[in-house]
Amino acid sequence: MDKDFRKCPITGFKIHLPAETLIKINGVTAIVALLIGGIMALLVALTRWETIHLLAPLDYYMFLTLHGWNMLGFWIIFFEVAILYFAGAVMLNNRLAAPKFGWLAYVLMLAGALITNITVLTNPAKNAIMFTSYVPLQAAPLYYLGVILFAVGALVAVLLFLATLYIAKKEKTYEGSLPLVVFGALAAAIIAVGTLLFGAVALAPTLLWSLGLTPTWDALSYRIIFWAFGHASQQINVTAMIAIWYLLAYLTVGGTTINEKFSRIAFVLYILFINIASAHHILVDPGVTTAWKIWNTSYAMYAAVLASLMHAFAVPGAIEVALRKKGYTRGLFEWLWKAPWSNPAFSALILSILTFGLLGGITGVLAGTEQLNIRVHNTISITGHFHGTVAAGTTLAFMGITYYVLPLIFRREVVAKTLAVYQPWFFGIGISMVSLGMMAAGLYGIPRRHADVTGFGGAPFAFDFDPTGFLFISIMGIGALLAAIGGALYCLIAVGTLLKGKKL
Amino acid sequence: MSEEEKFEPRGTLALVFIFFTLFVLLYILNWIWLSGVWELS
Amino acid sequence: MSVVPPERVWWTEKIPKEEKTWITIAIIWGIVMFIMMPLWHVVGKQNPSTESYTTTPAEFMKEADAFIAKYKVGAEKGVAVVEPPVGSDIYMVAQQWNWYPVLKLKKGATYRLHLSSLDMLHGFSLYPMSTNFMVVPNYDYVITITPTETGDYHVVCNEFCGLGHQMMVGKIIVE
Repeated sequence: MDKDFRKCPITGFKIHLPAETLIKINGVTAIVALLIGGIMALLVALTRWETIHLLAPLDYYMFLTLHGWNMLGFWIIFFEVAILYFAGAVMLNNRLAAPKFGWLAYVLMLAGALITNITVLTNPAKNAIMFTSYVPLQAAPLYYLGVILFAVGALVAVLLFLATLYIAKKEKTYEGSLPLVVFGALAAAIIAVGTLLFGAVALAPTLLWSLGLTPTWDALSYRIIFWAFGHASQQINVTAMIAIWYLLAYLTVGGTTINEKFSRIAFVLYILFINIASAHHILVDPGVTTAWKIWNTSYAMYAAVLASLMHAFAVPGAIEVALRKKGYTRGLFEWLWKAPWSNPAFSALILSILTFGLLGGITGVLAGTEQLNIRVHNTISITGHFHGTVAAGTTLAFMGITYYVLPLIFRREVVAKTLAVYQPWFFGIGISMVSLGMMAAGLYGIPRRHADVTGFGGAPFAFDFDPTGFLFISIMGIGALLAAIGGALYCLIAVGTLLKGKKL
Repeated sequence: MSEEEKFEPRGTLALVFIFFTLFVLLYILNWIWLSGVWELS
Repeated sequence: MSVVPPERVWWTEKIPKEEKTWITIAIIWGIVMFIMMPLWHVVGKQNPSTESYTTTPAEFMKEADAFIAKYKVGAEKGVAVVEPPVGSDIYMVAQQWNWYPVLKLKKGATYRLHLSSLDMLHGFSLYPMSTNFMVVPNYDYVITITPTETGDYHVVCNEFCGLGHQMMVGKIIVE
C-alpha cells in the first residue's frame, strides 16, 4: 500500500493519512468550541433563570452572542468539515484532493473563530450584537472580518471535499454510485456552497459599511439575505445530521436504509427546497406581501418537510429491520427494547432522532406557519424550537459518532465507558427540558435575547409576566444544568480518551 | 408469518403513525390558541 | 449498506408500498398546511398585516407627534397617553429604548396601528396574548387591530436593539 495510507483493521477502509490528520484537527477544534460554547450556555441559562439571574445585561448579551457563534458556527461547522473529509476520503478509500487546501481552510476557520471571539469579548458594548448582527446595529469591522474569514475557510473545505469526490470518480476508487452516507454528505456540501455565498452577500457589504465605505443598507433587505444564509445553514446541519444517522445505524446495528432510492430522493429534495425555510423568519415583517410569505414558506407543499418525514421513516426503519434480522421479531417493539442501549452511540442516535423530530421538527413547521408565527416570533419559544433541532438533534448525532471516531480514527479506546453510557442521556434529557421549558415559557410572552424579564432595568411600565412562564423557565434552568453535565462528560471523555485512552 | 413479513419495519410504521398524529394534534391546538388573540389583519 | 456503494443502480430501485403511502400522506398533509394559510386570511380573525409603506424616521416621527398632539389626554410616568377616536389611524413609535405613546383604546373598536422605528430593529410583543410583529426602520407597518378584552396591556421589545433593550416596555390600555 502507498505510504500515505493505512488500512483500517476494523472497517477495511483505506485511510489517507493526511486526510486523517485533518479529520482529527477539525474534530478536536470542534470539541474545544463546544466546550467554550457550553460554558457560555450555562452562564446565559443561569441568567435567564430568574431565580439566579447571574449576569448583568452587557455580559449577558456578550456571552449570548458568543454562545451562538461557538455553537451554531464553530462547533457544528468544524465537526461537519471533519465529516466531509471522512466521507470523501475514508469512505471512498480515496485520497483527499489537496491536503494543503485542507490546512488553508483550517487556518482560515481557526483565525475567523478566534477573531470573532476576541472582538466580542474585548469590546462587547460595540460588538455584542447577537449572532444575527442585524443592520442597523453595527459592530467593529474586525468582527465582520472574523465571520467572513471563518465562512471563507469553510467554503474552501467544502470545495476541497467536492474536488475529492471528483478524484474518487476519476481514479475509480469505488464502483457504482456513492455510498448513501457520502451521498448525504454531498447534499450537505452542495447546500453549503450556496449558503456560504449568501453569507458573503449578507456580510461583505456590511463589512464595507462598518468601515464607512458604503452607506447603510435596508434593514429588511439585510434580514432577508441574512436568513437566506442563516436558514440554509441549518439545512446543512440537518443534512449532515441525517447522513450521520445512516452511518450510526450501520455502525451500531448493521442497519441500512430500507430503500436507497427513497432516501436519496429525500436528500435531493433538501438541495432543491432549502430556501423554503428562510422566508419563515420574515413572516411578521412589513415590506413583503402575504403571497410572498405563503409561497416561500411552503413552495405549496412543504417539500423540505416531506424530505425530513421520509428520513424519519427510513432511519428508524433501517434500525428495526437490522434488529429483526438479528432475531428480535416478537411483537411490534421487541427490537427496540433489545437494542444495544448500553452503546452510547446508539442511545445518542435514538435521542437525536426523537428530539429532532418531536421537539425541533414539529415546532419548526408550526412556527413557520404564517399566522401561528404571530404568537411565537421572537419569544423564547423560537429558541426552544432550535434547541430541539440543532442543540439536541444535530449535537447528539455528532456526539454519537464521536464514540466511533475515537477508536477508529484516533485509535484510542474510549475511557470511562460506564460514564459514557449515561452521557447521551444527561445531555439528551437536559437539552430536551431546555427546549420544552423555553417553548412553553414563550407561549406566556417571555421574550428571547432579553437580559431582565423581571425588572426591565427599572423601566417605567415594568410589569410581571405570568408566573407560570417562570415555572417553565425553571425547568429550562434545571435542564441546562443536566445538559451541562452531559456536555462536560462528553468533552471529558473525548479529551480523556485522546490523552489516556489505550492505544488500539 | 412469512419470512418477508418478519423483517418488515412494523414498529417503525406504528411510531411514525403516532408521530404524525401528534403533529396534526399540535397543529390544530395551535390554531385554537391563536383564535383567542385580539383580531388582527 | 449505506457505507458502501449500492448493489444496483439506485434510481431503478422500486419504492415499496408502505413508503409510497407515507410519501402520499406527507404530501397531502403538506398541501393541507399550505391551504390553511390563505384560507385563514378568509375565515380567520388573526393574520399578519399585508399593509406597509416605506417611510423615514423623520417622517414617521412627524406623523406620530401630530397624532399625539391631537389626541393626548394626559401622561403616565412621563409618557404621553393618547385616546384616539374609534376607527382612526394610531401610532406607536419604537426607539432606543422606549415605546411611545401610551394608547387608550376601546374594547371591540377597530384601529389602524402604525408601527415603525426611529433607529434599530425592534420587536412589538403584546402581553399577555403574545402577539408579535417586527418593527423595522424606514417601514410603516399598518396592523388593523380590534382589542377584544379590557385591561392593561404591555408591549415588550423582543428584538435585540442595543444595551438598553431590556428596558423597552410600552403600554396599551383598553376600556
